[in-house]
Amino acid sequence: MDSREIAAARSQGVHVAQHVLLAAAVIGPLVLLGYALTAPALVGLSPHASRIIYFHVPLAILAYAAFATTLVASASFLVTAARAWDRVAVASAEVGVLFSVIVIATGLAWAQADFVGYQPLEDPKLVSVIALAVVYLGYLLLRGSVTETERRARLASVFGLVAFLAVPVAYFATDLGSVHPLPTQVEGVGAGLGFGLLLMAPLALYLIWCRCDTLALESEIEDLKNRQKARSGQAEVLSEGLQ
Amino acid sequence: MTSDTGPFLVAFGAVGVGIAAYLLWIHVRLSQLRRNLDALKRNRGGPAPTGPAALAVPPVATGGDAAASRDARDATAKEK
Repeated sequence: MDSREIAAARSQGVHVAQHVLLAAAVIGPLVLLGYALTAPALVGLSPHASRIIYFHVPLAILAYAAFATTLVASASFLVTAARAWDRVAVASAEVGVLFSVIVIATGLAWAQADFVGYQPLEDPKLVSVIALAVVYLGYLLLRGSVTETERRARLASVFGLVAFLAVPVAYFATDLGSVHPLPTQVEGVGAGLGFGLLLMAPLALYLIWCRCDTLALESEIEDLKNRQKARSGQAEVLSEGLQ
Repeated sequence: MTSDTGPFLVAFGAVGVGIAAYLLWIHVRLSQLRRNLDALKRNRGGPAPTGPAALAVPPVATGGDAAASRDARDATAKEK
C-alpha cells in the first residue's frame, strides 16, 4: 500500500465516521425528545419543567465544554502556532454561543413555568449566562474585525484565554441567591441527565467538526490565492526586468 | 404524554429548526468552498467564480467548429 492509497483509505474512514456522527446527531435529540415526553414528572418540578430539564442541563454542560475547548485550543495555538488549533477554538466558540442561547431560552421557559413572580434581570444565574454568551459573541466579532490572518488568530487566542473567566462565574452564580436549583437538588434526575448528555454530545461534536472543515477550506483557499498573487507579482517583475 | 405538551413541542421544533438552519448553512458553505478550491487548483487565472457560475461547464467545440479551430492552430504553427 503506497502513501496515496493510505491517504485515500484514511479519507474514506473520516468520511464514514462523519456520516455515523451525523446520524447520531440527528437521532440523539429525537430519542431524548421521546424520553422527555414519556418519563414521569420529577419530584418538585412541574411536568413542563420536568421535560425541559432533559435538554436544558445537557446543553448547558455542552456549552461549558465547548468554551473549555476554546480555552485549550487557544492556549495550544499560542504555544504551537498551528492554525488547526485556531480553527478548533473558533468552531467551539460558535457552537458554545449557539447552545448558550438555547440554554437561556429553555431556562426562561422553565422559570416561567415553575417560579411565581420570576424577575429575569434579578436572577444572577440568568444574567451571568447572558454575559457569558455576550463575551463569546465578542470573541467572534473580534475575529471578524481583524483581516490579517496571523494577527487575528493571536488576538483571538488571547481573548479566548481571558473569556473563559466568564464560565466559572456563570456556573457558580447559582450560589449567589439565584432561584436556579442545583442538579443534585432534583431527585432522580441524574441518570436522565447522563442519558441526555450522551444523546446531545454527537450534535455538538458534529457541528464543531463540520465548522472546522469549513474553516480549513477557507484557509486553504486564502493560501492558494496568496501564492497565485505572489507568483503573478514575480512574473511581472521578471517581465519588467527583461524589458 | 399529557395534554400540555403542545408548547414544549413547539419550542423543541423552533430550536430544532434553528440548529438545522446552522447545519445547512455549514454544508452549503462547505460545498461552495470545495468548488472554489477546485477552480483555483485548476488555475484558471483570475478570481474563482462563486455561486452558479462555479458550476458552469465551458463549451467544447464540436463538429465543424472543432475542425475549424484545429485548422487555425495548424496554420499558426506552420507560420511559426
